[in-house]
Amino acid sequence: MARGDDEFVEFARASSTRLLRAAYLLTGDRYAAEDAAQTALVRTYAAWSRVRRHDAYAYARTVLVNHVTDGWRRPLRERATNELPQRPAPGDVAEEVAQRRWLVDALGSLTHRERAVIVLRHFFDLTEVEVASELNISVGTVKSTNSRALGKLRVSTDPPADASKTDHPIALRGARQ
Amino acid sequence: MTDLDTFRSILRATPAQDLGNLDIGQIMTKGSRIRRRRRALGGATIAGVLAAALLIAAVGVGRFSRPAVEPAGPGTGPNHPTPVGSVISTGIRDSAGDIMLYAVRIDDSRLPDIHFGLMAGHRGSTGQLSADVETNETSGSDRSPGFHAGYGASPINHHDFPEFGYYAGPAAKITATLGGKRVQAHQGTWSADPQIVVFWFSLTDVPVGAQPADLSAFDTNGHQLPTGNTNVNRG
Repeated sequence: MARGDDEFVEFARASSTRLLRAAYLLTGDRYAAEDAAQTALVRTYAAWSRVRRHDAYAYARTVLVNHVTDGWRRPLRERATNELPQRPAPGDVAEEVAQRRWLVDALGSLTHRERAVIVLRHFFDLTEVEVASELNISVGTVKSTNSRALGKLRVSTDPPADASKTDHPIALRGARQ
Repeated sequence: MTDLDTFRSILRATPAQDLGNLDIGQIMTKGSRIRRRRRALGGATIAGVLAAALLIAAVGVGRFSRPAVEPAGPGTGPNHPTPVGSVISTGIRDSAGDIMLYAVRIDDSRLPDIHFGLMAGHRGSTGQLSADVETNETSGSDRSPGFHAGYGASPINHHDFPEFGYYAGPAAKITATLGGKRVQAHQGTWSADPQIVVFWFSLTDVPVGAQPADLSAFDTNGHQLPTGNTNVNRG
C-alpha cells in the first residue's frame, strides 16, 4: 500500500466516527448517514493527493454537508414541523436512549437550514463566519437562524442564575410550542 | 454548565455504535474509480490538444487587451498542454510561481460543440508552465452566451487556486455574493476570441472552500447579461 494510502486509512479511521455522527444529526436516518459519510470519504480519497497536506477533515466535512444539503434541494423533501416532542424527565432509567430519540426528533422539527446551522455550529464547533462560508449564507443569517433554532429547541444561551443551586444538571427543556 | 453547554454535550454524545461501520477498503475502491475517470478525461483533453492544425490557427490570433496577459512563452513541456492563445496572469503568486490561466484545445467526440477548456497552472522561475487543473463546459456549446466552466477555489497539488471560469459575451464586470458581500472578479480577454472573458476571484475575496452565490455579468452600461451555466465544479 502506498504511503498516501496508509495516511488515508489512518485519516479515515480517525474521522469516520465523527463524520457518521454529524451525518446522523443532519439526516436523522442511519442509512442516509452511512451513505453521506461514505460519500464524503470516497471523494476525499479521490482528492487525497491535493488535500492531504491541507485540512483533509475540513474537506471531508464540506463534502458531507454539501452531499446532505444537495439532497434537501431535491423536489421530494420532508417537511419540518413546529411540534417539538416532549423531552424525557431527568432521572429516567432509559433517559439516555430516550434523550437520544428526543434529540433526533427535535432536530427533525427544524428546517433544513436551521438543522445544518445547529450541527455545524454546535457539533463541529465552527465559528459563525465558518458556518456562513460553509452554507453560502451571510453571517447575519447564521446568527438569526442559530438563535431561532435554539429557541425552537428551548435551549437557552444564558448561563443559569446560580448554577450551584440547579437540581438537575440537564437544564434542556423540550416543552411543546 | 449552561443550557447551551448541555445541548452541545448531548449533540456530541450521539452513539456511533448504532450507526454501523464504514468499509474503508470499499471507500478506497470507489475513490480510485473517481480518480481513474478524472485521469481518463484529462487524457482525452491532452489528446485533443494535439489536434495541431486548429491549434496553430487559434494560437496566432489577436492579443489580449490587459497588461495581465502575456504571451505563452517558453516551457510547455511534453506533459503540458500547449496554450491556445496567450496566457493570463492572475497576479496570484505562491512558492511554485505565478498562477496563470490559459485555454487548451478539446477534441472529444462526446462533446461536439466544445472545443476548448480553461487550464490553471503555475509559471515557474524557469518559465515552465504547469497544468494543474483543467475545467470545461460539459453540455451544449462552449460559446453560448453566459458563464461556463466554473471551478471553485481549491487546494490543488498543494497550492491554493482561485475560483475561475469564463464568460461568453461582452462582460465588462463580473460579480458574485459571498457572506452577504458583493465581490468583483478580475477579468482577462481571450486572444483567440475576444468574446470570451476569462475571470477569477482573488483568494482574499473568495477563499478556498467558499461558495459564492449569484454569479452575475454586466455590460459596459451596467445591464445584466445572460447567466448561462453558473455551476461551479469543486475539487
